[in-house]
Amino acid sequence: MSLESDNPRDDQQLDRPVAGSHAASAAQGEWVRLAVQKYEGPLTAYARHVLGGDADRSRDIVQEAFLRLIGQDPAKIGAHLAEWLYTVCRNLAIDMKRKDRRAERLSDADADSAVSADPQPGERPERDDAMAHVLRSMQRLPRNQQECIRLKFQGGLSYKEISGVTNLTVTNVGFLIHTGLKTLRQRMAEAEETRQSATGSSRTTPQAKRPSTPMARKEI
Amino acid sequence: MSASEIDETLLTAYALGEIADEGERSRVAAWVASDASAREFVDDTRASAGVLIDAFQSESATVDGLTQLQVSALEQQLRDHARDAEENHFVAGSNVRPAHADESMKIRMRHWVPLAASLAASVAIVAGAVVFALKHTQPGVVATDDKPSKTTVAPQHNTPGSDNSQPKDDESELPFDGFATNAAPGDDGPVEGMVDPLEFAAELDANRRNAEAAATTAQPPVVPAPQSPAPKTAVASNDAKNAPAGPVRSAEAERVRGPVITGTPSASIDPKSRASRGAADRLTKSTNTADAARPRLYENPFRDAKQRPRSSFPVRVEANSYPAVRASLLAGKRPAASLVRIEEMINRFAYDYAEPAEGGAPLAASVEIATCPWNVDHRLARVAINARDGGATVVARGVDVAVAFNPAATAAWRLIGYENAPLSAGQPSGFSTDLAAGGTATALYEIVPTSPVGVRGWTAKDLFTVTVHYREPHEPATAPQHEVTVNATDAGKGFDRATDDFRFTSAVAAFGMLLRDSQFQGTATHADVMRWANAGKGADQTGERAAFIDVVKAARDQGR
Repeated sequence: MSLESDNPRDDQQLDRPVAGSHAASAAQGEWVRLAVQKYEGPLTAYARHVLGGDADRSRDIVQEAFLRLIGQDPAKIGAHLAEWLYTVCRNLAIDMKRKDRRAERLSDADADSAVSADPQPGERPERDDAMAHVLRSMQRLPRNQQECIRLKFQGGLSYKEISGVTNLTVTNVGFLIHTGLKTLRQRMAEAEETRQSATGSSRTTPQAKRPSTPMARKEI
Repeated sequence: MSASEIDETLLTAYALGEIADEGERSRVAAWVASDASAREFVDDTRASAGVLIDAFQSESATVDGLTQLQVSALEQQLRDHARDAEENHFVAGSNVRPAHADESMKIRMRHWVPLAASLAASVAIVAGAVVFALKHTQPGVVATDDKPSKTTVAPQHNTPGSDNSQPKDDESELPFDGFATNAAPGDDGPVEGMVDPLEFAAELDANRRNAEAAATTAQPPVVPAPQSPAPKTAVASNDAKNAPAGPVRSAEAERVRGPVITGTPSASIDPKSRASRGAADRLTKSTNTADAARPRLYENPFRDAKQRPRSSFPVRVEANSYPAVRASLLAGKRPAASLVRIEEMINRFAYDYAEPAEGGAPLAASVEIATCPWNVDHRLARVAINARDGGATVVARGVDVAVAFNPAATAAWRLIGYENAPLSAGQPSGFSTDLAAGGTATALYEIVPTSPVGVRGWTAKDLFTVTVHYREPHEPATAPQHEVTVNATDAGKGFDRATDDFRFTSAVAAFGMLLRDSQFQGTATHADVMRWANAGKGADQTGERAAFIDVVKAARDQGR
């Protein structure tokens, strides 16, 4: 059941009597519930990232985003649901930070290039867990790279959609994601090498290869 | 940016499917095909992307999502929205769509006032009668008493500067300014400025009855009540009453013989269509607009076990609910919904749980699973924690229960009661408390299994695991916790073969749901509750179970 396919509300149905209206409102309810099911976790994690680890407020923001979604027309949002939700969450988070006057604005250049803090409080130490290592490595990237990477691989947004959410250019988004990925690959490779030297193993996982050396300019 | 960086950025975009221009994509593809280093770069990028996607998925699975209160607020808003839409369309049905309809809808979606909502419903029904009687010759009238009441409206979250919170290309006006966003996770009760949802429900309930009485008096035309879409499965709570003809599980047979499937098994039960799909239906239909006329109660919804595999509950609850409910019913009054707290009612009674082994942990955990009596497609699991009666005042400190569902066996789950308790996705749950000697805690989970019990090839399976963390009384708070773990194995037991305590607990829970007019009450009736309680009465040395049955009788006689 796709989210898009459940958006039967249109002007024609709006003018139908009760039965039609029920179908429209029921479909919209289902649309919102499916959105909650699908995006609750990723959105909360994203909001938590934007808020610098504030779990409680991230939940408030995600709830607010879904509350706002209830009033929206599914047909209008259509395939842009993820982009819409992430945008609302991001903007609410920024508003919240501004209001609190306790955190830097994400749009500030300094903040964009700043390296974020080490793993957030409350993270469970799962040192043997490769996934946890990747996430820890993520948290050492500049915040703007982290955000774009999250939106891309957690939110499943395209470069263009990320551009819409963050107000960055598509080119900038592509560069940030590329740079962030490259750094992560390097860190994963280093971690793998460390592990191998510790265990004496020579096995190399595909994702833990050293990044390719900068390639020569290729005319295409 | 250097030339090589430009190239790598382009290759990254290619690897991630981000080159929209077909010509450019073809050129990069040719480059990758002919250049080993470029190919290696693309492969590495895709591998890294895969690792990241997995990492984020694992992170999302462990992040605490919305609290139950927040989810309930969403559900409530959805119901408000659906009701609002119904009213607008009722007017639209007269071919007169008020010019202000859109605006009215937006305004009214902001906040619903129980009394205003009820009055609006009454007025709409009466107005509908007039409209119908005039054969659509008059413009429709819609109730537009939209002023929010301070007694029921949650504080708004319309902060300065929040105008930019909508995507910029969205020209639509915000439908409302916010709802209860100050309901901080972890709150154990209503927050300041927010009406107790249960009091709210009781008020709504009374108003609904008034509205129904008014509608009856006015003899309106038959206004089609919001109907659920035709059920695809017979899993949803009320579906059992409206189940389509055909092979279905017989509730009566279930009572007598345990899980029985009538009809042709191969044709009647398909795990995907009945249980797995049913779980999704349950999750999405549990509060559909067919329930719009019900009082708006906060109830724990069914949770998808894949999305939300963890749960918890406090081992200590208040004990005020049952005496208040009993006193009210015995006095001939319907108890206010706010009085009916199922977890308190369940834990008011004494149960005969096995003592923890001598010399072992000071507490024991046990699980019993049988057919859910009010929805025979579901399983009901009773989790019991009991402390050793050793004479000491406190036998365990910092007791914390973690329930981890197995998504392979559990499609969806619902914690019965504990409506104001926050959910937790990890440790500690926040419910940590001390357990006194002889203390017990009982919680019920209603579970939608991934494959129904009784289908060919069904085998016993672990639905979840319970882990209880605790410290010995003499240990400091910083000491590492001990733990007791028990696997909750479903052996397919029917309700009639469950223990007395299990059946009695089920009866208490069902009674609570009836009193709350729960959307999850399924097929339960007062007669069922009395039968189940009788079956589970056991020795009843204190007579408290017999007294409970008297209370249920009183409720039945009063039509409660």
